Amino acid sequence: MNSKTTRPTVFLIDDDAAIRVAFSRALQMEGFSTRLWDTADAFLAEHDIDVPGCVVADVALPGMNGLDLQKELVSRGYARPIVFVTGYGTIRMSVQAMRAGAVTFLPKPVRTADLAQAVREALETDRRLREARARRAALEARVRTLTTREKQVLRLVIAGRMNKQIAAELGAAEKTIKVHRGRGMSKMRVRSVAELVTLTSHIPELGAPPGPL
Amino acid sequence: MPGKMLIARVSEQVQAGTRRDEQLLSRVERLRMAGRFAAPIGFAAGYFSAVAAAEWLGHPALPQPVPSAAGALLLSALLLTEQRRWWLYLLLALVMQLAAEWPTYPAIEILVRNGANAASALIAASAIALFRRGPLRFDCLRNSLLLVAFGALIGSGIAALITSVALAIGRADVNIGFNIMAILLAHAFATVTITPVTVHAVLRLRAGPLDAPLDHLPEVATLVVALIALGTSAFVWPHFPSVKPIWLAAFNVFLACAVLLLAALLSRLGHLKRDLHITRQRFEGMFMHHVMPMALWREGAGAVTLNDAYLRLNGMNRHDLTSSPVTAELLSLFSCPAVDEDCGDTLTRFRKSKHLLHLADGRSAPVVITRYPVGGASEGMLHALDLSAVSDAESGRQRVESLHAAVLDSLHERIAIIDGAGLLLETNESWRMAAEACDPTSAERVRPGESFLEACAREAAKGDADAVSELRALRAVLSGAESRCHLERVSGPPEAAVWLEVSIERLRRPEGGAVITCIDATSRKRAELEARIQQEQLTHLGRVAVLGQLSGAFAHELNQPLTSILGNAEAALRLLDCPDRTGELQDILRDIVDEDLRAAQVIQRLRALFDKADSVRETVNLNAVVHEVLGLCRSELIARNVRVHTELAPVVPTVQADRVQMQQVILNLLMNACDAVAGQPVSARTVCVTTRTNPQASFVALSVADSGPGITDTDLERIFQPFFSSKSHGMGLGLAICRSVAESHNGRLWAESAGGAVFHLELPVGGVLS
Repeated sequence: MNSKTTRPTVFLIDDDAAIRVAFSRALQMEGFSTRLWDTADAFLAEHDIDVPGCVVADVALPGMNGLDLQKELVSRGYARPIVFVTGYGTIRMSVQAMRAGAVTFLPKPVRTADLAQAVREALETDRRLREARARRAALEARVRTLTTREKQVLRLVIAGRMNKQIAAELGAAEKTIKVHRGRGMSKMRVRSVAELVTLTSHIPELGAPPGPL
Repeated sequence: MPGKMLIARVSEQVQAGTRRDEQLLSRVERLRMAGRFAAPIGFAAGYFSAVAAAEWLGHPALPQPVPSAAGALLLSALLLTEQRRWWLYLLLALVMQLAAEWPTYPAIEILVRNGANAASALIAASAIALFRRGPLRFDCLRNSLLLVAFGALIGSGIAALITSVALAIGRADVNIGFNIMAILLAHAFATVTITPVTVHAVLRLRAGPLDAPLDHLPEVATLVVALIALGTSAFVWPHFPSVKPIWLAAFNVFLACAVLLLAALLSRLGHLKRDLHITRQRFEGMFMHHVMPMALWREGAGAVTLNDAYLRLNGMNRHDLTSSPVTAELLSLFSCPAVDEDCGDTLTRFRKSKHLLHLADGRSAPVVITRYPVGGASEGMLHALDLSAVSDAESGRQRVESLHAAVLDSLHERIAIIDGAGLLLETNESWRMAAEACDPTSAERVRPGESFLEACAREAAKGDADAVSELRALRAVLSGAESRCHLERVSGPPEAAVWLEVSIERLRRPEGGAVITCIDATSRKRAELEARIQQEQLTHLGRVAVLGQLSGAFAHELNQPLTSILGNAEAALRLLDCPDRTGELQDILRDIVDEDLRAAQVIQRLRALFDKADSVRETVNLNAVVHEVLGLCRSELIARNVRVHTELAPVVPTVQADRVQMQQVILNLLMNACDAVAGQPVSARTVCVTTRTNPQASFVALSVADSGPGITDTDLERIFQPFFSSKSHGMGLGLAICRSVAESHNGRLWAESAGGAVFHLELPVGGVLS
């Protein structure tokens, strides 16, 4: 990744050109870099999930509206934080949006300080989400290096089985199991079982074993 | 002027005709005067010649020359003369006899012969005068027989007897019987030939100037020549024994010719008589059965022939007439005193007089009698005109006129009737009463006989708009360009002004004119005004209701510029700290101004929509109105996820309309369309707004089509009824108000179902009533 793409960007989506320009000016004065779109569809067509940044949009957009945009982003695998600036919001809308992801609602007309604050927070959220995403991606990469036998052994380890029990269950010698366990632990770069359990708690592949023992 | 010329020419012709008549009359008069002297002179000459010729023609074997023309001439003269003048001709005959024969014959013999002639002529003339019927003509059997009986037999017989007896006295060698026979034949021959010819010839001469050419002259000449030749051959022959008898037969050719010609003449005469008879019958038929009472009259004799109408006028019929001949009573028309004697027309010699005739049934009828000469001056025709029928018609006319006036006066409407030139003919009582309250110079105060049109023109010249339009309507109707015109105007003084509905109708008669009817329409006008005010209030109410639904959208529309202004302003504040970026500041401030104006425009439009201003007509471009409305409810459309397509005609003619009301109608239709598509999936919620015009550019049409479920056929009209609503919200007044707005603009608003619902608004270009 180069420096340009890593710099967080504010994606401004509003069908009202005057508002787009005004927000862009205000946010640039606060030091943010901005990109402007008039519809959600146009934004989505050029959307790069890897570019850090947040969306500032009106809920009521012609064609695809703000809530639909949020759903679409989620379905694409990354719920990029959105700051909704609306003069026409309702509680129902807000609840719906909040439930779907990282969202802030600001009423129009909005003070630049408030908008900048919300953007800042959204970018921070984006950063955090991105970091978590990156960690998880690294972990998943490690999991992918495991052999099937190693995955079986580690799954049973996470479930709290003793080596002897694992060997009996898999029909292998305890010594062989020890070798698989040691190699797996080293591939996952963990030293203790506790560390392995914490790390893999969100990975279903290595999560709870299928069916009770 | 043609009329005058015509009259002059007619009178000239009449005068020329009169001159001709007078010339004719004076000629007849001259002839008559000449006849008074010419007749005796002619007779004297004729008689002398006849006696002298007899002497020359006399046969030694006969006591009397054949024919004995003198006696026949005397008879003719007596027949043609009034009895009181017979003496003159008898005397002349005696003188001429003496002049011709004395002293060749002894005086006594001359006197005897003359006396015999006179006696035979007197007897025959008296008998014919006594017994003849009809005019003195010998082409009828009765008169011919009279002539033969009294002239040829009795008269001639007496003359022969006297002469023979007188001549035989003192002579022994005389055969009396032979003499009587010879003289009788000589007289008879002369009487039957010469007398009728002479009488007819003189009557023909008397009848008038011989203008007609002498037809049948060859026939007559042939006859005369034949007769002379025959006479000569018969009587001269014995004097010249050397002439061979064969030459006698040569004259038979003449005789045969004469007989043939006579036969032809008689046959033609027969045709003529038949034609005359038919003509006479026709004339009598016409005369007798004519509805006009008529009589043929002759000076001194009164009425000679009367027709049936004349008899009816006198309460008689033809049967009464046969039982009692024309009496003096019948001729009472002549005797009853004239009520009004009119000398008549001297040019045509008519005489007219008015009489009050007492009829047989006791009534008395006014009669105008006109007499005019026919043929001679002493006879002519008269006709009587019964004036009672005329006076009946007159009273009928008066009845109709009084009814006409009464009907006019009974009508509440003010009515005036003018003729084709604009002169006031008549007004009714309502008109006159209303006119009394009017300004003395106004057209209502015009009196019959004065020009209503000119009074209107005077008022129009003062700049009165009502009078101008009334004048135009009047002229259009009077010229025949329009058969009727309607207009409304204010009449009377300002404090008590009334609204009049004026209708000008063409008077249906050939000479034209117009009937002006004014109806007081004040109360109707007032009701109309109130209804309009109420309608406007309702329209405003409907508008406010729709706007109420859109209040959120309008707030958003205001928020948009406010938001951008705030953002821009705060950016500008920050820019102030960066002295090197003042260029951007200009852009920002310009944007702020623009956005501010935009906010102001939104507020202005909203105010106009909310305002309860009076309806104002202005030039409106429907495309612009569509854009304004779409701008106002943009947020609402976005919020409702409705896509609006516009298919606006590149150029639409402008209409005279109330802009706010047009916005209201389009807004209403748009919101209805949004409601209609609310049940559809988001992607299918479309509304299409179209404007177009027809090729003649006479109207502008706007349609709003939605992709909703459409409208059932039964609801297509019901949706325009007030308080009909298919929605849970709303009063059900929106479309009813929209339709009334369209109609108040002379336009139409209707719906159809074509997939979704389509609403059409159609407005005429230009002409919209206030």
